[in-house]
Amino acid sequence: MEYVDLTKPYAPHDENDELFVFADHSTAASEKIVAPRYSYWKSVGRVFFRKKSNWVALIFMGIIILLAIFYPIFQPYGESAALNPNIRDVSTFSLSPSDAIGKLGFHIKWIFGTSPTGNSIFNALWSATRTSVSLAFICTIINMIIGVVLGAVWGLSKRFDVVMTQIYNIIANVPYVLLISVLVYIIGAGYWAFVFALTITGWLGIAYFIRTQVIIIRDREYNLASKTLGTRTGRIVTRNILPFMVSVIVTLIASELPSYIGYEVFLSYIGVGLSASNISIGRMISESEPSWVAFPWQFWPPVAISAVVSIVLYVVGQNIGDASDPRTHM
Amino acid sequence: MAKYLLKRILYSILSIVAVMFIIMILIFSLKSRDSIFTSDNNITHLSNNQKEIYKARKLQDFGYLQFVAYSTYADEQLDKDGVTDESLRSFYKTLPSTGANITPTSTYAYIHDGKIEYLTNKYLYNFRAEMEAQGYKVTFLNYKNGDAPQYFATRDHNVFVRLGQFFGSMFQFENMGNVAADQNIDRYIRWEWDYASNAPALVGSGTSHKYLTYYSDSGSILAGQNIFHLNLGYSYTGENKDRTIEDILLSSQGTNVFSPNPYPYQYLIIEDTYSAKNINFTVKHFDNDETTLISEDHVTTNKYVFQVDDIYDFYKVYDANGNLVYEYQPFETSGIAITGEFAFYFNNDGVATVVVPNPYDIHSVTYSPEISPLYGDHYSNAVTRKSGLSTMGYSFLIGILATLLSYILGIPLGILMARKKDKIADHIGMAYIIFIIAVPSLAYIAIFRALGGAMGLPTKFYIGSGPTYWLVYFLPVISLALPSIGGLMRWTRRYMIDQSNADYVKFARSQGMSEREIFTKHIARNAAIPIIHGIPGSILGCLTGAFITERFYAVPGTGKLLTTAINSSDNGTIVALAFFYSLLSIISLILGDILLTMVDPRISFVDGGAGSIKFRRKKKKAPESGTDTDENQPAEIQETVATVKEGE
Repeated sequence: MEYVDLTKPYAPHDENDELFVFADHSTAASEKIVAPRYSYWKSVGRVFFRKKSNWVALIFMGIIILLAIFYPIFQPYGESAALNPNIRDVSTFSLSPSDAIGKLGFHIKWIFGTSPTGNSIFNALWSATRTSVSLAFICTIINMIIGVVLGAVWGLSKRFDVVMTQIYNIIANVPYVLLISVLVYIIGAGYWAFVFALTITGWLGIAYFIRTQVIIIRDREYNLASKTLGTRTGRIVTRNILPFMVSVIVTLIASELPSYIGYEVFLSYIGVGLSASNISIGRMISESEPSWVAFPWQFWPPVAISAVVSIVLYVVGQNIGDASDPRTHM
Repeated sequence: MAKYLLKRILYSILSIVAVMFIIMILIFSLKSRDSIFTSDNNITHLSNNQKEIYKARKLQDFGYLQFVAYSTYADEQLDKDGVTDESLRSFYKTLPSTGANITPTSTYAYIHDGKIEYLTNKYLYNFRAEMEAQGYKVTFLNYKNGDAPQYFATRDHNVFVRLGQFFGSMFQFENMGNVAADQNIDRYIRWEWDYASNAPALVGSGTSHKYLTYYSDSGSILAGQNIFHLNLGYSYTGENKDRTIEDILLSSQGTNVFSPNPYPYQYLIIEDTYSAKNINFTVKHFDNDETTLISEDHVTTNKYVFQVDDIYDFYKVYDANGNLVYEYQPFETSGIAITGEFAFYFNNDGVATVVVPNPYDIHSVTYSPEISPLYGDHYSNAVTRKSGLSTMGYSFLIGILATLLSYILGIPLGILMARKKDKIADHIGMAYIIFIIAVPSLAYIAIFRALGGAMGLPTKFYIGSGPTYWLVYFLPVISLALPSIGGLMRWTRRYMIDQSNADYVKFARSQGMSEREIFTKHIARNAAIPIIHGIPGSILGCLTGAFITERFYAVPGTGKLLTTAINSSDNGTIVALAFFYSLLSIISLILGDILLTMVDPRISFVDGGAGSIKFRRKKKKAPESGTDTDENQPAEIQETVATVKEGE
């Protein structure tokens, strides 16, 4: 094989060379990169859906979320006489699924039996799922937004860093559970009070984590170069740093979402959960726990749903996190 | 390093003070005070004025404010002014029906001996003036429809004063001036021979405890001290009302343990005084009725120990001349015969006394103004000895067993997963880890309890003994260990994999070292460093108890204290536990960092020191204490955090 030295001007030395035609030098074409088109989010989707297990998890999550949204519209849950006609009929209290169907006739709402007030466990379950899952989503969204924004500022501003690190050191020393418990105890146990208690310091851990990430990335060579070339800080954050952290943030969301369901269950169990008017998974578990041997059908459905919801949210979140790492897009 | 540590400890103390400040503001200033009355049934039966007084007193009990009733104030002032006449005293304490016109010159009817006199009542006026001068808010509730008038002053505690008091009275040291100066008592601290334990003891007089250091006469502890006590306040309400937090955390629980040691102190003195003078006695042991003689002992002694097994054991003691000097009849308390080892003590007057098995811990006696007839001195009120451990004892025992189990299982399993990466063992392990991370701890504890119950294990904890008693620890320990095992597996695997991809491992491999050598000499040592960092935390974390596990299995540990306190608005306990928990978390972080510098010489906290690596730490605590603190963070994130630790 003969190599042509491209640095030297072209000099024909063969009559066959006449078969070749000179090509025009095009500036426009030389600017084009001949490579397959790459869209970040499309690639994320491609990698994510390549895994069959993710389809299963997504379908599960879809079913649960759709049921949680729409089922309570058709079968609302409540302890008023209008919503629970059995409330005065002691013979309908705490019936097992088969007894409930036998006594009250077949209806989807009796498939998990009845509560100690004769109410439908199945109805309660979906209202509870709606409360707990929406709580988890709202708290995650609030904490992630505050955490990511403040964490980015925290990581970039040295002055802010000094103050925030001291605040963090103090608040991180209060056991988180103690803090939430005291807050719920102070501001009451309504739904939004609960969101407030979970978010007032919940963002701090996320912000601290983001700060650490920002510090790692901010001093990398490409950022140094960008800064030297005159890029403003805001642009460095939004264009250079945050895109780098998408996979990390998504992974963080994946572990935050189920953790709020866990906190809600835990707080309800220790007695500082949501008030009686808000049925939630934690409430169902903690209320049915003392008599779980006698009435297992009141205890296991909320336990099962919390387990399934948490695992599905975690797995889907983790896999989106994995997929959002561009290194997996090859 | 010493300078760094000092600085770090100073910062920690500051941050604890800040934490307590926040907690106190949260509880006493921001929280609605009405919440303590929501579940109070007493209040519904009271009339309006009584309700106000009741609320004010209750708020005082819960530590919100100081309350002074007019009658208390008047009594004090009348004593000071030397007014002793009862009818005059009651005149001064009587309230007018309205509080509107209380002036120094207002006169009120004073009825005595059938006469009416109109007198001024300076106390009524002074109360308002003096109390307002001290910053109190004075309230007069007028007479209305048979509702008696009320006159009282209240003042909210200042948060800084409260904070100062909390930290100021925290450390209590014994000294001989602890008993009030006007008490006529010898004041000394000296070494004495302690007959209860037959060992020397540091004994004080004028101190609040009698025994300052001592060897224990029985029970689980070897020795004890009363020189220093940590005063974290007391419980305001609930089953532990008025008990100190230290007592709640540390005193034993369960049923009384009877010890044959002499409890009333004077018997010890008898033994001491007459120890050289042994006297001839005859002790006769009868059974059933007082006539069936079982045995007869001729003894030359000052102490005779005998065994009582049931209600029918009778003992009679005769002196050298055959006179009956003492007889012992068994007795019962609450229908149960007191049995065990008893002892007669003789003195040279030929009188015997009997020492009954008792549950009292003589070393716990505290000062009381009256001389106790039983002890012969000012020190009495011994606490009873119980068969079980303290709340902290149970939490720590269960916690430490769970921690041991999780390290024993978690680390080897994590190593196995790392070595069999992407094989079946790794997949099973990952499934378990996801299960533990994602499923709320309540749910999997319930599942494991159901499984354990089905296998016949006890699902409710109790204080007891017996050959199969240890089984009650089984399920709580397993339940507590499950999440820690998951966490340790995860991190061990992560660190192992990170280390095995490191350049120095590739280099070692290219040098021809065996995999086994690479593992033991390089990977294991480096991967162990971050794991070791968490050890002090997991050990100290055991003291705080596990909220869910303990409640699920009814373990009488510390885990339930905080939740019960929160549910019953027991502010005193909440404040004390917040302090205790924060203290433990800070100590374990410092210890963890110290341990880190010991195992890894590259790490130094001093700027410019070897390696010059600064450490940052931890995310929020996971709900189930005793577990890995970084439970909520996914592996990939931790990996980067680890890099930051080294790069920062």
